[in-house]
Amino acid sequence: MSSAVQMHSTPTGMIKKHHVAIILLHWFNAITWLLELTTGAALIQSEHFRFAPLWFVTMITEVFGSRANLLRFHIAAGLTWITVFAVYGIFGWQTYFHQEVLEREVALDRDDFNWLRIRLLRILGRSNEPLPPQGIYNAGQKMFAVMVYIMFPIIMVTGLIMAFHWGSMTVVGWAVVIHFATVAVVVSGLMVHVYMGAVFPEEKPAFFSMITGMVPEEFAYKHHHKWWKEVKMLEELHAAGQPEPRPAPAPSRLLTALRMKEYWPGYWAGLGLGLTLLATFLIVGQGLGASGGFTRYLAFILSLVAPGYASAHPYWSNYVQPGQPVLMDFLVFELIGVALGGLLSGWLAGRLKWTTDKGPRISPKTRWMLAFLGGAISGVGARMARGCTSGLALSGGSVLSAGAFVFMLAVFAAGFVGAFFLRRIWL
Amino acid sequence: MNSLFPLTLSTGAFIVAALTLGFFFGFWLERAGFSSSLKLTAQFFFKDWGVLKVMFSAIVVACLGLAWLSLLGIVDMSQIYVPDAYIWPQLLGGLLLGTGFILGGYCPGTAVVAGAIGKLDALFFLGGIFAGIFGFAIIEPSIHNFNVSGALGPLTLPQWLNISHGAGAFALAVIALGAFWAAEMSEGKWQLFKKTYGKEQ
Repeated sequence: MSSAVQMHSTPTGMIKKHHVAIILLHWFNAITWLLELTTGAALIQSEHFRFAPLWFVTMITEVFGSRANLLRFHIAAGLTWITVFAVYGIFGWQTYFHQEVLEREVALDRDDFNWLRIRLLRILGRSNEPLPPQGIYNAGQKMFAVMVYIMFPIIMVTGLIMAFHWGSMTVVGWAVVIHFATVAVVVSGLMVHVYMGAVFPEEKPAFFSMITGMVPEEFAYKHHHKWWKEVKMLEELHAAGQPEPRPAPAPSRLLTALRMKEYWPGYWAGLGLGLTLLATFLIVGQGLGASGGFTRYLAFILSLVAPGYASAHPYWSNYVQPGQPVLMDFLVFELIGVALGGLLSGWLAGRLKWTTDKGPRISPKTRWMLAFLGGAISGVGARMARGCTSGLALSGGSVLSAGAFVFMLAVFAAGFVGAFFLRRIWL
Repeated sequence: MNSLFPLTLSTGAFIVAALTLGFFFGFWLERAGFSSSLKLTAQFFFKDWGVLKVMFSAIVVACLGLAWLSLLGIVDMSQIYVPDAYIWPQLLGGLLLGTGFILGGYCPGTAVVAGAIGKLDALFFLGGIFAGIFGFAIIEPSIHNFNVSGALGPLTLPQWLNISHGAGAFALAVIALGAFWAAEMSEGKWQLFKKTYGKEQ
């Protein structure tokens, strides 16, 4: 480590913490929140939700002349707020939504979690451990930032839905509830934020840094030691005329995971699949599937090449009916997505290749014949059961369908028994 | 207030939703390794319990998610599609699909992702599915009575056992945890593959 770190005399002087653009955004945001909370509280008139005293509602409404004006002001200020954040987002994306910046300034590291734990124990009088050193923001500030990152977009979207009545009455109704709830969450964090910034004596320098952009070195040394070290090291290198060390950018963790050759652990893939399935139920009211889509494709081909046969056939007439487009079905489009999603995943992992998976004892030709035969038997089974492993076992299982569990047990039973007799194919 | 979900979508939004949700479905299947018939069939030799782990964790996540959201009034469960139960054809259909699975190496959904990344065996399997469905449609009229036997409507296990839906979801989660434990033991301590087939993993 550099000698500056070992310096024992209390450091004096100031170091720069905030860019002027951030200071401006901070105060713009603070003023907007003050206005929006005031007008918003006055706008809530429903007895179920109103929390501001009646005199306050009346007073604010009178200041703006009418409730309609008050609402117009609230929406206009909200739109301005969204616009300013959008502009900052577009121009600041490269600077602030950088993995490095997010990991340093927002993501909580091991020291932060320890800091939270020890801080809590110290408040309860259960620990005398020293607090771990903190980066440019402490764990509490980072938690607030994470919450704000999650809540702001929700507040913006629900606000827009309410203001412009995007969607049915149900959607608008829920947007109102979610708008209130997310604002309430932010306000609970805001109370701590304002208290720490404006009242808590030890944090005074943080408050002034939001005006001047500078913090006393002593404050950084004590409260943000890891950050202070970084700044000092850079200063020293600068004084020695050496270039700033540019650490090789760490490869993004997400990209590394996407590029990895190994398959992802079953429980994680299952979690992702489960969330996708849940989203499917919520959005379209049914689950995921596969074999039903194939049936539709086949019905469509039949309706083109032999429309008379298809519409008269006792089975195909379920799908081919005059005036009803055969392909207007969830699974028909979902299957195209399935192929594309598989393709992208396989491409990222470097698995795109014309190959044949087979056991060591059989030739590719035998494998293809068996695959065709297995496909045919599966096709019969899936139609008889009205679904396959996806549509019936997975989706039906999630809604606890009785038929799904009968089917699932039968599939596993046949699989395990079949494997024993057909082991020469695979082992 | 009505429940927010399921949504009522316009045709355009419906198609975009179907493509997007399918995209993620395919992505997760491929990530889990279900684009490989070797990985999939290893399940039935007690070699690799991936199929069980992925399927059951997905079912538990979706099932508990729906149960909680319905408890909070966010989703209206009466609007969520529950497949009709036809016990006998579903039992036989499951046995056939399981047989097709171990013969052909895939099930219909996994064959799509495997085909998408270039597995030739999966493409033959897909061809087989179309032949099978076409064949089934031809024979269906003559086995129609069997094909509609054991019809119980959209029956769920909790309804059948006369317990609440939430209790059923909870029981399923507990059973799944037990199954995960058994799967880990089978891959580790029990060495079921080696004991059954006399080969190293």
